[in-house]
Amino acid sequence: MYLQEVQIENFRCFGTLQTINLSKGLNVFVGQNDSGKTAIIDAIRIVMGTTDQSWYRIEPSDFYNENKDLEIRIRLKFSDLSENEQAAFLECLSSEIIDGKDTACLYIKWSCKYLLNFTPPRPSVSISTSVSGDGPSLSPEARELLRVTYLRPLRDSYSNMQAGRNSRLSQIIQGIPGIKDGISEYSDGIDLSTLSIAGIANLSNKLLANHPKLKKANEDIGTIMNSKMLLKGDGIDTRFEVTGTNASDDKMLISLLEKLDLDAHSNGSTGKIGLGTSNILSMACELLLNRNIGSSFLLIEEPEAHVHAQRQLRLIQSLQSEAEATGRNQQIIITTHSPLMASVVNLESVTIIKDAKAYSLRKGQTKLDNDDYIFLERYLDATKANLFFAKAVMIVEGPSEELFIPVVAKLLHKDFTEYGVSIVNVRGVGMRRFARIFQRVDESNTLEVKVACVTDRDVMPDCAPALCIKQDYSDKTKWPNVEDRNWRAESDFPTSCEKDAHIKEKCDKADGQYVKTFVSDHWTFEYDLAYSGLADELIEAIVTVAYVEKNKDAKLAEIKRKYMEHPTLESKAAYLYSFFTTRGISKAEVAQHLAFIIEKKYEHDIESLATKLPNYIKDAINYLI
Amino acid sequence: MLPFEEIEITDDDIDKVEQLFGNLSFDEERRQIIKNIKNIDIQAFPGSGKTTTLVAKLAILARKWPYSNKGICVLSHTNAARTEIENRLGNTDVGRRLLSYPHFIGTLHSFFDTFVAKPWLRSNGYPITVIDTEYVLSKRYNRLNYIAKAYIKNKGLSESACEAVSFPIALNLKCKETAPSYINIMNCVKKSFQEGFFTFDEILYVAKYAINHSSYISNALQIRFPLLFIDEAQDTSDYQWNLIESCFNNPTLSLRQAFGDANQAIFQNYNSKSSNHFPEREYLTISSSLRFGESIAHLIDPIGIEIHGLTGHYSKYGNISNKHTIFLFGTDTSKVLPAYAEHLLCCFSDEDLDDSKGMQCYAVGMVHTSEESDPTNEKYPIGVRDYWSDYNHNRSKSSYKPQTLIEYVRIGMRAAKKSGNTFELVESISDGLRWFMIHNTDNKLSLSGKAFNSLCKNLPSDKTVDFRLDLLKLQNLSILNKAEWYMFIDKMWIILEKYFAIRKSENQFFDWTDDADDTSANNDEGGEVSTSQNVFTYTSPTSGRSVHIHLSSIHSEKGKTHLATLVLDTFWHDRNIPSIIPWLCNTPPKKKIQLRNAMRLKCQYVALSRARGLICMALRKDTITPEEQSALSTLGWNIVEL
Repeated sequence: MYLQEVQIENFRCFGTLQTINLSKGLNVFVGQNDSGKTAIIDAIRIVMGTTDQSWYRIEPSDFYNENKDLEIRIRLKFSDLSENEQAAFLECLSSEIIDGKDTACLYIKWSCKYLLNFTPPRPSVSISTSVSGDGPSLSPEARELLRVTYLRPLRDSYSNMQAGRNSRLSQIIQGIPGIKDGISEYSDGIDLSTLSIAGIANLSNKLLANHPKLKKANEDIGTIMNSKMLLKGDGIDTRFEVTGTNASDDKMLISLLEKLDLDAHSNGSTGKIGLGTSNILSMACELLLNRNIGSSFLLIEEPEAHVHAQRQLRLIQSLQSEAEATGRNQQIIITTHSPLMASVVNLESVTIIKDAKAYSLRKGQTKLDNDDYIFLERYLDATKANLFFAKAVMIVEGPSEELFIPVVAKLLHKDFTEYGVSIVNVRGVGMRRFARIFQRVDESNTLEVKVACVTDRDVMPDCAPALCIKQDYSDKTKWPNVEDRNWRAESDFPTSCEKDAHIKEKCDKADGQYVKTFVSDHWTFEYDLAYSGLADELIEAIVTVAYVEKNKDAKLAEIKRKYMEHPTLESKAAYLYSFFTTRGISKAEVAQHLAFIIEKKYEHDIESLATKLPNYIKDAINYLI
Repeated sequence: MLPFEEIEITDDDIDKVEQLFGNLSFDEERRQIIKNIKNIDIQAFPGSGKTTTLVAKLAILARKWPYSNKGICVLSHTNAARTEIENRLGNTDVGRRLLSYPHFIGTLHSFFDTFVAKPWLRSNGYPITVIDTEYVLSKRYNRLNYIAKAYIKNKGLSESACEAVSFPIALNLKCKETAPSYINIMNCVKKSFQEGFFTFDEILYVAKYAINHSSYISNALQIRFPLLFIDEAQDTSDYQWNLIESCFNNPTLSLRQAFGDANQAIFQNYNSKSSNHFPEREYLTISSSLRFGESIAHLIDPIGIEIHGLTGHYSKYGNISNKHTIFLFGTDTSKVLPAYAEHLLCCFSDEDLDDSKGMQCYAVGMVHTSEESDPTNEKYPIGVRDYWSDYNHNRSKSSYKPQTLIEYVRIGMRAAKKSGNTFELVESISDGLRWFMIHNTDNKLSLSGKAFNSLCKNLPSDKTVDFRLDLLKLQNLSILNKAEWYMFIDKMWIILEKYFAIRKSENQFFDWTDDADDTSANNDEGGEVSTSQNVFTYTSPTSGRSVHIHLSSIHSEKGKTHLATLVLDTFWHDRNIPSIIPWLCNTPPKKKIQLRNAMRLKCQYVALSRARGLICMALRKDTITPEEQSALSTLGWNIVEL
């Protein structure tokens, strides 16, 4: 059995009815703060109940807009019930047709209304089953099958693992199968390793009572009392007794388990372990309890808390393998703000939560096709996984754009960091696949994250092949046939109609819903910068990167001179671009220096910068912010 | 081997249950049955404490039950097993456990309804509004157009023409499917289904459909209930057996024990060629009756149709073992009840006859629904009414619902007075109001559960407090006479309008009726007193002592214990008692028993096995030959001519 669907209405940030679909195994909720991740987790645990038996009281703040006239409604749907589970929930089952066959599923409907004629108002909760909620309510024994293990955010994992009354550790260990096995009564000659835990308690009680020093103390007390304080013949004996000696085996087991601490030692050192380690330790313990037969549910909020990057990776991988382990039916639902964790889980496990709506990235829900999933699993790393948490995303081809555009945006008072915009550099491959993450199959429920794909038009001016590829190409007749070359020039698209078609083709690959493609006005990023008016700055940056300090001034003058010699704006810009093609100068380095130069030069002159920037870059920034 | 089969029931366990039940002991025969956890049937003779034995077994099993989500299932046709558990174990932990999840103890109908039909209907978009045969059929009939109504009338059919005979809906009508009446009735039934109205049997048809179409159901049922008991197994119809067998079809998943008495199978359809399902395999027997003594066992064992060997082990009334009497009358049936009453007064002390001790004297007949017939009719007497014209057959039905509010109020008042629980009156009034609203308004009230709760659920939450207050005010009103009652009704209309928006209108439901059950007022007059409870009261003119005789049908007395029983001869295709004289004389004919005679024998067997102390029969003198009279007399019957 697994939780397949959650419907929430009037609960916290969820106003109108929202449906959240979940998968078997691992589910990862990602999203910005206040997007509703915790509300979903809380809805689930309130309805299902938690294994630590904690009680959740509905507060006025749990109602949507704090409107206490509303009724909070939560409906959970469980699917894939085992035979035993079908039997246990028999009178409450619903059926649905899957692959032409009637299949059992279970709906639980929970609702809460405030009784306003009491002061202060009291919450009144009702639980029923079936699709419309007119089925019988669940019996306590059946509800036990649904309890979730819940690890709250900012939990004090350290004290969870420490001794104490009703300690979480003792609860977990009580749940281990066979914990009560063994001999509970110690007798002489018995092998100590065969004793049960209660047996150990019995033995230690016995040893304590017979300890010579304690025995002596007991006798002394008796002597003083009988000889000095009581009358002859009162005949009162004293005896030391360990508390709980006469308790039942079960009670003894619990009281002993409550004395346990779980400590970890790193590399032989002792002392209190760090927050991160105790966090991981507590999760390990909960997983142990969750390994019991039957279906189990584990909700973890922010498992990454206090855990450093490499351990985060390890942790999420083990959660994933735990959730996918065969023979067990464990559903793990986590929320995370860690791009690192989001980057390593299977894309299909991820659900983006935004504005109290859930967008699962499962196949069939997004416009990604099977190839895309395989591709993205491989190339989605922590820096790219940023996009899950962003308010808007800019996807760029290479490092130049990645380095340059945020600087320009900041100068234009549109700071990416301030506005929560992520910039993702796909290094030339799969730009559209990343964009499709944000496109939904269900057009009526689109994911409102603006995505700007910034890409090159890749059509060089007719003068460029000679400058940047081969000198011979100044004679167009020497160009290879169109189909034999991997570059295009303006003359390949003689009419404006054909030019538009070329751009449309580029846009169509990704555009749709909130994804929009911005194609460079001419050729490439650097060419367009030079063309649109940043040639001087580009020359300066190229010189800084390409020549040693003492030659710089001379080279600068030389390049500027050659630049001016070129007759047209096209050939001028193409000349500068040839530094990257024929001289192999690093675009990224140039972009970095260029950004630096522009930052200094235009800090107080935004208007003239704006006139010099290529339009497609300005448009892309304006689209996002 | 199923895990629970490892449960071992020891004599020690049985001893403990005996203590729990108080002054009761199980003999070896019963102990073997309690201990047995195998696929086996149990043939239990009347009064053998079959249900008690089953409950003892359940109590032990529940205590040792190893699962928290799998349970024991006990199916029956009445709530006898459930009531017995409530009475014997109601306040114990094990009793509470048995009556709740994961176990099920209840009727066959409610089992298939709870676990199969309702979940299936809910998942397929049918609401569940009312499940009740009588109410649903009358509602459907009233909605028919005049052509369909005329058709039903002309063909001599009843409202049951509006009942589906299978699911998907099919009707048992002998006309073309294109006939206007057929179409009208069909549409009416379909609409009724869509609105959530079902008869009890229709729920079974839906269950059957669901089991056939959702393969997971039967499997899940068996896993949920690895142990199945069927009580009153002999009354299970073919259709029901079929249903049970299609669910519990895998012997590796569950185990079944059927308890019943093959001789008492009076609820089966007599003319169906029903194969005998009980006992259908190896069976154990509880032969000794704890209800009556050997004299009764001796007289009725010969009419057992399937299995013989009944013995009687109750000795209190040994002194009247020679008083079992056959009354022969000419054509004047009015002498029968007084003669029986005089005989009772002579056999029993006033203490024995005290109604409040729980055991009562009865007069029963196989036919009881007929109208009064003419004494000159050769079939006379046909039914119970021919022995006592005040007999009202509706009253002896267990499903009887009062037809006026005042009856509800009176029933509630009596119950509240008897138990001291005010809520009984509240519930009874609420039940009346609910019945009224369901029949006369569009209020969607739930018919299941407590009536008061279903009324409250229909109110906005801010009104429930006021509603409770207003109902509370009704509790203290007196309704002894017409004037008081109309004051009560005025207040009731205010409540109905205030909370349910029902405007005052003329309706017989609110009319005053005389309190027919209040016997105390006219008790002084002596002689015969008629009451609406079908009780004939006789006061002896000579001694002044009196006795109440309850009249009823044989079918409704099944499972009950009487102090004394008189079986009245009635007519169903032929005379009922005279037709089976050969068996009564222990000289059964060699040839195969006719179906109708089989039914008569079973009914007679049930009727004569109710009494602790005394059994009697009444028949027309000209229906029995002198030879037969002397044969019966030799067996131990007294013959008395009136």
